[in-house]
Amino acid sequence: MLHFEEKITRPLRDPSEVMKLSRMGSFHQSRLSFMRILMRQIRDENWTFVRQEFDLDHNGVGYAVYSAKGPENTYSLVAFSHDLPDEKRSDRVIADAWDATFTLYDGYPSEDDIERLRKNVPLQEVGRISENELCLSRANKSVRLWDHVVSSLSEGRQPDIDQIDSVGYLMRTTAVYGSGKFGAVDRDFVSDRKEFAAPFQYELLSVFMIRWFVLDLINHTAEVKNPDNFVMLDPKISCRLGIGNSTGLGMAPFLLNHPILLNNWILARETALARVRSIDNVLLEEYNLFIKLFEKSENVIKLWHSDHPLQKRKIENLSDDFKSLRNFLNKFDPSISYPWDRLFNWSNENLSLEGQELIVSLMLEPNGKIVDELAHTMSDNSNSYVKIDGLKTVGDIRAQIDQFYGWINNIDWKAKESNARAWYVSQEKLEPRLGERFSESIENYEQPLSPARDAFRLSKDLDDFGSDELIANFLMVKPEHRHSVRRLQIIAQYPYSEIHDNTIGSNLLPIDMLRCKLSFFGAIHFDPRSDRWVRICMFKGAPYPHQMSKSDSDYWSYLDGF
Amino acid sequence: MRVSFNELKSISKGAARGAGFDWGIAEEVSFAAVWLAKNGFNAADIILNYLENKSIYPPQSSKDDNWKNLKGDLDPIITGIALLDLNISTTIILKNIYSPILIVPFVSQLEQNMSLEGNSFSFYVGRNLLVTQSINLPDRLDILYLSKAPKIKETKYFSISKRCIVNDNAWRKLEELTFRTYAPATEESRILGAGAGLSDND
Repeated sequence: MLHFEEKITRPLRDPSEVMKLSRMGSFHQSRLSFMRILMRQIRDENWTFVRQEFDLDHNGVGYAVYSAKGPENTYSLVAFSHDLPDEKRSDRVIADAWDATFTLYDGYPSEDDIERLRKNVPLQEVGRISENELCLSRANKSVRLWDHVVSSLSEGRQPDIDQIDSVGYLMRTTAVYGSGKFGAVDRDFVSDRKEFAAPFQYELLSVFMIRWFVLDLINHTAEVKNPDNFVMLDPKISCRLGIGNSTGLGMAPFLLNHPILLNNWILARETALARVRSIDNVLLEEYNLFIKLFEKSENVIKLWHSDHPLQKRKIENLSDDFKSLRNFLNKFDPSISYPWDRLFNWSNENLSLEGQELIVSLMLEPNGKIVDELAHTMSDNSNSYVKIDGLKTVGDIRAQIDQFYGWINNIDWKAKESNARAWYVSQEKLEPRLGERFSESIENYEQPLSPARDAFRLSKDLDDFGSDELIANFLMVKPEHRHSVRRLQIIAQYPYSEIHDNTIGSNLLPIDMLRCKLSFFGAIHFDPRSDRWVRICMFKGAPYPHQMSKSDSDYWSYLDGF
Repeated sequence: MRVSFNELKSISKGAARGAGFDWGIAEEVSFAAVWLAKNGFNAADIILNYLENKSIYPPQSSKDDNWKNLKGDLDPIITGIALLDLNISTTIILKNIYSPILIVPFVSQLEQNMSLEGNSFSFYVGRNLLVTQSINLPDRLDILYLSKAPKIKETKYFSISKRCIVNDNAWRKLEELTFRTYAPATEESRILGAGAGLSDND
């Protein structure tokens, strides 16, 4: 373990700056993203991947099993492939059928397991999986790309690169459920495995293997269409294909519901940034790697398509940022003292939020030796119950609200627009949704996802009590504030655990919450489809499981091999 | 039926909210449910019975060591929360307490080991652990003594199963209570609530 803390001479950014949704909604993947962590581990531990079964008929219907063997454990992706009529294909959570459905099995599944899974996995939310399964997921074909690739390959030619790049994936997942959902194993029972030390590792392992199945599926489909003339997809092209994903509002409350986890993610990245900014002398080879990845990033951005006006503007600004950066870097002397810090300070004054956050991610890249160890601090394995310290007084709590929620006083809570939205769960699909408080009948069903307003209400009610009264006694009389007091006591310990914005205001963009979370997953090419769902691409540029080797680049997410 | 602990956690929280509790109390109910299940108790039944009982009351005062409510039996969750919030380490007498097993998860979180005694039983509760051979507390107790336990060596008595076995009927009723927290769908919410926006099949 390295001990860099004593050498940090640059401060961590203040939560009031980092935890604004506009900035969180501009985060980019970094070497602390969970896909990057997973890929480093798989490569460094030399995991072996084997296609165990591939039993698909002429219509592509059947099942397949792929295994991933690490130093201590083996995991198997069990894939079911279906013949889905076009009119049934939908990314939305209200869908009830998919092109393919998956589970990640803990070990090698027996024939009985496969039979059990065959009866349940294709049903997704309506089926049940067991403690032998880690997660449940499904994927749909990209109509834009699938037929083009199948017809090209079956006619003996490779698909058009421009079409490949304009979509970026052949299938997209529409949900990857873990953490005990639908009967899967609880995270507590596997979180002590070394390979799952960082967050979301088994969900992403599942996605990484789904990408392999999709490659086999498209080759199989082309082959059965024209067995005599077909060709396999060229590895140079398949590496350009990631797995797409559509993420909706179901994921947005996650950041609010897991404050300690959110803190641990942000704290790791901010600590990494402070460490890098504190480096006095930078080696030329490290700086050159930064420059190389800066150039690569421009390519990543050229392949980033979005029709959403807000994101289009952000991408345009980012392209302008590139021009300014290039001018700056042309004159930049990396042999000066604290060059990363200079670059960071310059970017804060001259770039858009997208550009600033891209620079943060890029600055971490050449500094793996002081950054990567932070991956192990990003989980929240305590799973402990956060008890309330009821011996604090009303005066103590008031002081903490002032200290940690001072920013809520900048919001006019009497104004309609500050309370315009309400989070609720719909009866129909049991998924979180966001409604208009004043025009829909949803307020009685409101979920506790408005910590800023609730802290404000708490502060008002505290005014009726004396400063010396114990908060335990206050809560006996006012139990409606119990969740807010608990949250306040969490936030007092975990500086990056709260979003410093109004999550029920009329100008809330849930896509900012999705972007933050998905950037930590390692996603690229964020493409909002409205203000509340987004498409992304995962593992684009990565090697495929069966092609991995010790010499693989750590920089695949910059589309290094393109 | 066999469920994950996370499923039990979610449904207990939802059911408590559906039964009319504030969110912060619902969080406590779900904590108690998971703690009981991990310690081998039939958590779904215990939680359901608790949520269905409307004739239980918070302690009238926590300022002396004799906790009671003259209106009827004490509410074990509210009582347990109060014991924990106040970090009780002295002797407390609980008079007429409903479903006393429900205070045990909260007592287990106190900084010191505690002893729970009634007319026919006595056991220790330590941090996250029940230290006893078997516990079969009645549905209600006239009197329960809570006091600081001597230093004891904690031993894990129950080995935690990876699954939580729940009574199907109780589970269905918890689902029904949770369902009350969900908003009925309208055509508007179908379109706007999840923000359909651009095509999702391309």
